[in-house]
Amino acid sequence: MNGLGTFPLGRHLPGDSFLHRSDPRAKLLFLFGIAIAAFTARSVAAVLVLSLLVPAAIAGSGVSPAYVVRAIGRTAVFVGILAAVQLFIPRPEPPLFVLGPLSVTAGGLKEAVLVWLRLLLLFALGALLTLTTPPLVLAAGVVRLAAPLRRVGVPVDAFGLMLMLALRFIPTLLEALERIMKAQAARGVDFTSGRLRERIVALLSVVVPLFAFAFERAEAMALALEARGYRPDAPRTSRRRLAFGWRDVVLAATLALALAVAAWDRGRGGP
Amino acid sequence: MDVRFEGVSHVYGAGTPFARPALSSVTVSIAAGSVVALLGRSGSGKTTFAQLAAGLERPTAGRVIVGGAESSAERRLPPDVRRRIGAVLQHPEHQLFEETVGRDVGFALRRRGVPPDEVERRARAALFSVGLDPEAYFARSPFRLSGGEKRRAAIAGVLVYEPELVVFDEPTAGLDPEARERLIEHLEAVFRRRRPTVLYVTHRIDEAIRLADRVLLFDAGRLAADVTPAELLRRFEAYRRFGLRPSPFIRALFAVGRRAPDVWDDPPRTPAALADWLAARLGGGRKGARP
Repeated sequence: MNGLGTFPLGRHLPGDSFLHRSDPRAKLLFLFGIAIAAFTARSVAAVLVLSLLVPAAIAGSGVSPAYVVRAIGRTAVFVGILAAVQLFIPRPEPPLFVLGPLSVTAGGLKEAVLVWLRLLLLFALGALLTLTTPPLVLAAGVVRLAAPLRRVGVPVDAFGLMLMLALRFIPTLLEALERIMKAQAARGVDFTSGRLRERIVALLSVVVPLFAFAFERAEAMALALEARGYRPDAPRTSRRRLAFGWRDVVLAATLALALAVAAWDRGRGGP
Repeated sequence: MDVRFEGVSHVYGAGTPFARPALSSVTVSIAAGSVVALLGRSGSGKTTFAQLAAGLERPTAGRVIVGGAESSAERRLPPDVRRRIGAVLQHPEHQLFEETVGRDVGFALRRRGVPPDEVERRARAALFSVGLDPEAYFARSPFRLSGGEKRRAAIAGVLVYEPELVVFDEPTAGLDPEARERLIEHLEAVFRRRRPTVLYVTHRIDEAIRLADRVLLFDAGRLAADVTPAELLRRFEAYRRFGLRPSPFIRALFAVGRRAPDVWDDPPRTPAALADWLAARLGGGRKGARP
């Protein structure tokens, strides 16, 4: 339970690195483009090649590699559960081995590994994005990128604010979660063992107070926004000037390369 | 339950860029049954100290020995010892989750496999001990109570299993004066009756002096002073550098002390006691006069 408060997603770590000084729009487009590349690539080898971006991005962020690697390791287990679903999708091919009512095929195994790698890659780059970008700047980037949608009536500013609040709340909720888990552990809740029934109670003893806390915080936040005269439909100006620089050209070039690798990989193998 | 800290340091988020040192090489022994107040500025390490003693955090260096069992960087306190420790953390009302106050208070006992009728009996007694009438509160939803009532219900949920060591982290923060006074009275009674070892984190010096028989002062992660409440009062000026500011009660005590130095022989610990002392001194014999 310890250390939840230091989980990187949604956390900002002030700094002066290559990634810190890149434009948020460039970083967002980069992450979006890599997501496309990762899901375009069809072979494990190509996704592994894309994964080389992670050490490169860590180096470009100035964040301690051991810290990021540990966070990826913790996420790997959880993402692994999601990826394992792929194993159980029926496929018209001979099974490698049979697990009870389920038969695991070579194709299923490959898909599971692919999904696992893709999600971890995006998690790592996403964590580095929030680590190197203050939430306000990140939201400004999203709003500017989505600005053209305003013309078709999309409430772009409101989405920007929602995104910023959501990111901002991840660490707050993790801290609250840690505190509540401690309080319940002190009352004798064991989170690591016990029968199914006990585990459900243990989960409830944390989830119910966490929701109560989250609603309280959300209400207070809404009041605070209103008290400061925030109106979602009112036009807003921004104090922040965003400007592209040479770092963003480097990001664009890297992205182009990654997309080329993914496109080549897809063209090579067929559907 | 006795508690011993041997060269204990603690760093939050050790090994991450968010690492934050909170406590550095603290060594201290606390005898079973004593009530110890932890004072100091925000961020001075008192909460960390209390959480380490309760086994909720483990030391980064050194070891904490609680009831003969050890907690260190490698080792957690064993479950049988943890079961004898209670913790009322900041905003304990955030730990309420059951449908009724009675079920929530009895939660810890149910976890320990206590038979249902005994759980109910003890839950009612615990509610009573924090001043909530069991008849009125047992079947109510904890989420419909006032802030002060929630707080007391949550505290009852910790006292219910009669922990031999209880940690309180600013239990009166954010309560109105009446709720605060009531809570302190009930805690005082519980401490007197059950004699648990108590670690009481507070920013209110009056509470520390009233409840504790020993005061630990923290400053920048270090144990800066280890004194009795009487010593703290006598040498108050010396401790101001650790962020202590005199309360109206302490100002009154010093005003009295300037004219009647013998008040320091056994300084009164509450405004009421000071009033009694003055009344006796002035010869009016109006024992029990309250301001």
